[in-house]
Amino acid sequence: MKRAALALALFLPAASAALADPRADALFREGNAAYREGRFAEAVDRYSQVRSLGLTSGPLEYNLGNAHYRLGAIGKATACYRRALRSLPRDGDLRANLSFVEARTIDQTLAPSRLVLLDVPSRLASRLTWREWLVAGEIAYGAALALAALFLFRPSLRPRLRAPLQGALVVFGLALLLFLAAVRDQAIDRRGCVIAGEVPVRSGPGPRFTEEFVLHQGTVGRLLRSAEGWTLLRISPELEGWVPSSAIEEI
Amino acid sequence: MTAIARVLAGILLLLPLAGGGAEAIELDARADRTEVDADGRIALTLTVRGGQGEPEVDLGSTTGFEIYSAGTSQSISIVNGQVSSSITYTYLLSPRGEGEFTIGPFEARIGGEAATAPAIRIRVTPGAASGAPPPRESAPRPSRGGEARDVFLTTALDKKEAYVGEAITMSFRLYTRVRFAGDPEYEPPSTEGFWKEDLPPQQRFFDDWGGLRYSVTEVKSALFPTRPGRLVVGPARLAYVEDAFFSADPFDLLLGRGASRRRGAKETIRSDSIAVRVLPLPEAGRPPDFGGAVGSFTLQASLDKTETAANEPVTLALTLEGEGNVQAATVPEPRVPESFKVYDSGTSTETSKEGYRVRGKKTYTRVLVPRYGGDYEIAPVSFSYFDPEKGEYVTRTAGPFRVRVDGPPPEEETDRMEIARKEEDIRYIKEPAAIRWEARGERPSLFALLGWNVLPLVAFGAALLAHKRRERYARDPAWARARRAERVARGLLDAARNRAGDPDSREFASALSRALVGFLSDKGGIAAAGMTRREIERVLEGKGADAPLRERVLRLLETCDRARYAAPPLPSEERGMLLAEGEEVLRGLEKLFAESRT
Repeated sequence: MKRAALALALFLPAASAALADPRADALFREGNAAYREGRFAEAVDRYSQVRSLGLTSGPLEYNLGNAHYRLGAIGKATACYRRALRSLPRDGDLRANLSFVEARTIDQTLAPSRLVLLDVPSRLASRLTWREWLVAGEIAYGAALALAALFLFRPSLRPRLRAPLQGALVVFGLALLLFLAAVRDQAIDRRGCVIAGEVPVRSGPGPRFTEEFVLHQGTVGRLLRSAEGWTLLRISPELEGWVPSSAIEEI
Repeated sequence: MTAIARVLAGILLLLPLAGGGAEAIELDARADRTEVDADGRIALTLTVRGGQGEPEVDLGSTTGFEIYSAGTSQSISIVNGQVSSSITYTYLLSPRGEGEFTIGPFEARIGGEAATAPAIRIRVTPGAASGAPPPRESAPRPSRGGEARDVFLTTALDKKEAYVGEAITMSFRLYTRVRFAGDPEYEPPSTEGFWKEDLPPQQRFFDDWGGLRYSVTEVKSALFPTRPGRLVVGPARLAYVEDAFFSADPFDLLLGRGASRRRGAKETIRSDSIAVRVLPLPEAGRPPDFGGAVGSFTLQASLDKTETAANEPVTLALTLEGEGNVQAATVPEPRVPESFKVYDSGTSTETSKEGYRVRGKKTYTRVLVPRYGGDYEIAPVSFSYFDPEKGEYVTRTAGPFRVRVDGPPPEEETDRMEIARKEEDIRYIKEPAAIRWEARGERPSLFALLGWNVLPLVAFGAALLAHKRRERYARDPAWARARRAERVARGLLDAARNRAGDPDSREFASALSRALVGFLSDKGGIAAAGMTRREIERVLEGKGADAPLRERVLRLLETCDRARYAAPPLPSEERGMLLAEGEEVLRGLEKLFAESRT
C-alpha cells in the first residue's frame, strides 16, 4: 500500500504532501526531551512552535495532546488527539489516549439524532486518511480503465473479464464516495473542542444574552460561524449556542 | 492630520533608501521635573536621533520607581533636502518611596552604533497626605510632537529578571479620554516563550494624568517563562476609530472647529516591547524527584481510615497547593505495599487568580485495596519545587501512613498471579526517527484531481472510437469502399496527371477512366468490372444526377476508351483539357454523393 501510494504520489500533486523541515525536526526533538524529563509546559511550547511554522503531523499532535493532558488540560488534549486522527486514523496508541481523555470529559456524548445510515460513510471514511482514500480510488480507477480496455478490445476475454470489471467499478465508486466523505470530515468541516474548564453557552454573541446551558472541557461540536469574539457551536441539531471564541480550540 | 501622517509614514518608509551610509546617533534624555511628591509621576523622554532601524534603549538604574512605557513616536524633518529622523520613547515613572534617586545613565544602540546620556537625579518629597496637594495641572502626560495623546497603551512587568517557570505579572493598560466609534481592534502582546494565564477580572477606573481625566482599562496576565535566555514580550497594538462627535469639546462643536478632526480615520497605537532575562534553574541541589514546579507549595496527604479489612478499600488523598503554575506540577505516585491494588479515582485541579496571583490546588485520589491481612506502611510521598524567592529547591513530604488490615495473611507460597492493571494512564509519546511534516489545513484540489483524471478517460474514448471504426471497415466492405472512394479517385487522377506527358496516351486515359469508374463503383457498391454504360447511367440516375452531368461523365469515359483502344495518341492540349474535365466531373460527382448522403 505504501509503495502504491508513493508511486501514485509521483503523478498526483495533490497526494504528495510530505515536507522536510530541519527546524521543525529540532523543535520536535526538544519537545520530546522536555516531555521525557517531565517539563510538560516546555514540551507544549516546543510542539506549539512547530505548529506556528505552519506545519503539523500525526506524531506532533499526539505528543502535544499528551503534554496537555499531563498539565491537566483535557480539552486541549482532546483537540490535539482529534487532529492527530486525521494523519493516524488506525493508530492504537492514539485511539487509546483519545478514549482515555474522552472518558474523563464531564459532558456525555449526545446520541446522534440523524439517521444512522447517514453516518456509515463517515465511519468507514475515518478508517483511512483522505490521501489514502485518494490513492485507493486512483488504483481502482486505473484498474477499471485497464479492464474496460481489455473488455472492449479483446472480445475473446470478455467472459473472464466481466466480473473483475464490475468489481473494479464498484470499488472505484465506493472509494470515490469515501474519499469525498473523508475530505468533508477531515479537511472541510470545522469542528472545535471546549478548552475552558466550564463555559456558559448563550443564546447570542455576548454576555447580555441568556445563558442556556453549560459545557465542560473536552466537549466537541461543529463550529458554525463567529462574530465579535464569539462562536456559534453546535453540539447536536437540538443543542447549539454561542461561546467565547477563546473558550474553544479548532480541531 | 491623517493625510499628513500618511505622507510622513511614506517618507519614513523611504528613509532607508535615501539615507545612504551609517549615521552617528545621538541620545537625549529629559525628565519633565527633578522633584516630585510621592504621589506624583514624572515623564521621562528619551529621544534617539539619526541611525537606521529601531534602537535598543537601556534605562540603566531605575531604583525607586515603577516604570510604565507610554509608547513611542517618530518624527521626521526635511531641511534643504537633508532628511533627519528621530524616535522618542516616553516613560512614566511612579515613585516607590521618598528620598533621592538616580535614574540612568541611559544608552541607545542601533546596530554597532551606541550613544549615551547622563543620569538624572530625582528628589521624591512626601506625598499629598503629608504635605501640600500635588500640582496635577503640571503632571506629566504622554505627548507626541507636542500634542497631548487622547489614547495610549502601557505594558508593565513586575520583574525584569525571573527563573524558568517563575510567575511574572504583566499589566496592560489602555488610557483613553475619547469614545471609540465601534469596537477597537486589539492585538495582545506576543508572549512567545512564556506560558500565559489570564488574570481576570479586567478593571476599569479613572486616573488623572497631567490634569486630564482618563478612563483606564487594565488587564493582567501571569507569564511563566519556559526557557532560559532573553525573552521579549512584544508590543500590543490597538487600532481604533475615534467617535469625534462624543469626544470633541462641545465649544469646538458649537464653533464648528475640530469636531470632524478624526471622524472615520483609523488610528493605530502600540506599546513598547519589554525584554526579560530568564535565568535557568540551578543544577546544584536539584532533588532527583524535581519535576519542574516553580513557586511555593505545600503538600498534604491523608488516609480516610487507618484500619480496614482485606479487599475493603482505603482512600489516599494527596493535595498539592500553593502559588505558581500548579497545572505544570506533578506529584510522584505513592509507593504502596505490593499486596495492595491501586486504582486512580481521579485528579482535580482548582486554579485561583484572586489578587492577580496564580494559585492552585491539585488533588490526587488513589483507592488502595489490600488483599491480605497484616500491618502495612505506605512510604512517605515527597514533592520538590524551586522557590524563586529563596533561590533554592524545597522538598515537601507527607507520611508515612500505617494501615492495619484484618483478614487472612498472605499464603507462604503463592500460585501464579493474574496480571492486574494497577492504574490506567495515557500511552507514551511517539519518537519517530524521521517525521514527515504536512502543511496545516491542507485540502485536496478537487478541480485539479478532476482535470487530471479526465485525461485517461478521454484517451480511452478516443481509442474506443478508433476501434469501432476499424471494426466497421472489416465488417462492411461496401461502406469501406464508399469511405475510401474519394481518396482512391484523387490518387488515380494524380496518376493520370503524371502520365499526361507520356508519348503514349493510353496509360493516361486508362488512369482517368479508372478514377471515374472506380469512384462510381465504390460509391455504388458495385464491382468495377460490372460498370457498363447502362450501369453507370443507372447509378447516376439513382443518385439524382442531372442530364448534363450524366452526359459529361459518359462523354468523358467514351473519349478515354477511344484513346485507350482505337485512336492515335491524344495531343497534349487535349490531354490537358481531358484532365481538367475529369477533375471537374469528379468534383461534381463528389458533391452529388455528399448531397444524396445528407
